[in-house]
Amino acid sequence: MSASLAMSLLAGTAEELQPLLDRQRFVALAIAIGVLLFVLELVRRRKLREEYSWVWIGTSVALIVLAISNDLLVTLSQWVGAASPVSTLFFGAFVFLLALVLQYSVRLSRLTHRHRTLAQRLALLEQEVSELRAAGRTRAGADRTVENAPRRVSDQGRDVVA
Amino acid sequence: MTSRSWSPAPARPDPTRQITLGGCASPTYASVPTPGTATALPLPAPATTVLVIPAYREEGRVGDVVRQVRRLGLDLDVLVVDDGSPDGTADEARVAGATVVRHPFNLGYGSALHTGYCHARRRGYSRLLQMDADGQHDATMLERLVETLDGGADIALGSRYLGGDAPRSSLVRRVGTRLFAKVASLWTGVRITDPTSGFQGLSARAIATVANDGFPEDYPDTDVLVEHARSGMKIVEVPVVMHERLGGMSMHRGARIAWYAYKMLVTLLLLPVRRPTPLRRRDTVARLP
Repeated sequence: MSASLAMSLLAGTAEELQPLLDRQRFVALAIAIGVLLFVLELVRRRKLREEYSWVWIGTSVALIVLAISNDLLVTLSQWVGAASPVSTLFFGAFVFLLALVLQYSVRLSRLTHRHRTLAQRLALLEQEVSELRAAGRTRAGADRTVENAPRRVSDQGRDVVA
Repeated sequence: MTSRSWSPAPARPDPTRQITLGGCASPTYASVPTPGTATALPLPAPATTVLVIPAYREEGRVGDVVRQVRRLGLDLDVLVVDDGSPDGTADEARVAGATVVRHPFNLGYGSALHTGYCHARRRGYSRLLQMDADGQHDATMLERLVETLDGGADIALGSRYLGGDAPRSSLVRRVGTRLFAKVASLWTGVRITDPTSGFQGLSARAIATVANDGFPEDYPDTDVLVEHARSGMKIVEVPVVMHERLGGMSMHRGARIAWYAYKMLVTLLLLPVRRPTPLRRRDTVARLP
């Protein structure tokens, strides 16, 4: 009985699922190709790092494959239990955006941590540099007085005379 | 004016001597500071104690606070951490005679404190005091904190509620304080009445614990106390006098109270299982070059 249930689940309701209309297919393809070209252009202009581009390229390629191969989309729809192949596309887009935004939040948190620690380190080093500069100025000032640098030269001179 | 020194504190070292700065914060979260090994900067030797005053937009107040402290003639260095104020906070503090570390932009109260902790760690101070820049904390109470530290405490926590003469505050604030005081007391095993107090003294051991990249950037109170207790620090509450703020804005107002409650809830819930820092390196700020 469970086997027959599994069979019916796997078989799904293929009869009810209509493949994409040609118009739908055309729109999906046009959008996917447009996104693909736009992302490549952004990478070319160095406005998008390769690091972030692969997700978009992967998505548009997946969309192109799904739009071309009807069987794949219908099978996928059966798996997720979608009422129509179009809602499978929407569902996929939703999951994709969710994952992407979550990943960006994670990256943002890491960048926040990094920029915070860098700013703190910079502030401390800046203070230390200014303190060292002030100390250096004091020492340079002391060297220029009669007590230090000129005396040493005259001492040597006196030694030679003696 | 003769400089009054706390009884057990060693005499101020010769300021011309070259000092060796304290070692890097060690990779373990809580550990006793190791003496410095490598870098010696030709800077004057610090007093053994540093007073950290985090300040944001405190022009017109921070100068008075610094002068009040200096008038006491205590043997301590005053460090004002300006958290990227757009006004003249940094200059005012410098004119009043404080050392100033200035964040390039606003990073939050906790980050300003953390910068102060790392400064203390880098310079090898053996004691750290912290007070607010808005005049709420009475400078004459600093000595009580030092006495508590000298008595063997790692954290001397100045409480406005122990003395019984606390300044007025809103109902939400009072209920919240009561709640978090309860949580902090239960978790640390020490009776804590004022967990949000920013008027504190820290021992060298405690400085080593908090000079950690994972230190919270805002509202470092109950969670930090619990973290201290977990790493074996001895917390002692000290009754102190606090005044009404001279001006400026409280960190605890409006929607920030909701954010505070949420942040504390999540932080405390996850505290026992949480990693100390997001990155493997934990001493980015405290590490010497």
